[in-house]
Amino acid sequence: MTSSIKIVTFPGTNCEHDVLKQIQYLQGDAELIWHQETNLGSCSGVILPGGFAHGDYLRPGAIARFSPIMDEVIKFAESGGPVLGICNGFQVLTECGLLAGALSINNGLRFICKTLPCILETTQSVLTSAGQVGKELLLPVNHGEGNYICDDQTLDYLKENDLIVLTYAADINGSIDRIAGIRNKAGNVVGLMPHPERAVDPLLGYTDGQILLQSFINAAK
Amino acid sequence: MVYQVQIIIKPLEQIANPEGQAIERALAALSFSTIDSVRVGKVINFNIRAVDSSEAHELTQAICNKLLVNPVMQYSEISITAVAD
Repeated sequence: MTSSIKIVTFPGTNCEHDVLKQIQYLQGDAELIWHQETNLGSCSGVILPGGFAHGDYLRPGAIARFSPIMDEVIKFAESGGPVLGICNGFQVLTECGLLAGALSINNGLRFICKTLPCILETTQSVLTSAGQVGKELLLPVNHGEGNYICDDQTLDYLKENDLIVLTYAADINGSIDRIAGIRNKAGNVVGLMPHPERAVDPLLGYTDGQILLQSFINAAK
Repeated sequence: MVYQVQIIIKPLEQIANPEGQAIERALAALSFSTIDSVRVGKVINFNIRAVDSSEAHELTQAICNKLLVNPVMQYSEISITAVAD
């Protein structure tokens, strides 16, 4: 069996097919995996896609974090496997402690659904290795709870270790330091609120997500 | 013993609370001009079986730590009342 990227589907996930199609568009191998599974199988990478896992009840990601597959995802991440959380997936990664901080309700309460300029801040991650620091990327943003928060100590830790992967070009939701995405220290776990999978196929109007998903596919080989 | 538990989950003081701010603006628009510092949290009620109130408290605290409260942005206040043997 060939190894592939596993795209975790929770009840309420709604971006899994978008991610699957765009990974395939970029010639990557991927398949969906249901959250009740307890084995990742022959896995080269894991993506937690966007949506509203378990209805976002309690807090986004709080219940998904305890789905059976998550123990395996955590083990895979801790062994150095590439793991990407997009939007709701980012929220799951912070809830399970693979990434620092938390995502809170947007300042102004507005649900943001816009394609917005973001700045690539580091190439030291499985999502950005093929990119260029300082490069502006136009990425679709689609969230109501994407306001990244953490305490001062954590923010210092993120900055000192180059863990901020992506920022918004302007403040859109109150996120500290306009943070749109972060990584863990090893760089194999990344979470971001914008949706790179919605900016891959030129048919959709934007292609700046290609460099991000291509980096992830490269890391998952 | 059965204990009735109430957990009040509040946003940490240093975290902005846009829901509270929106309610505060609405109240001001309704001429309730003496209101300020509105903060919105969550209340969770349940019954719990435990040998005594100390065990009930311990279990409730464990539940808060494990699932109900994210300490990055929230804190909780727990109240416990005995309701039946």
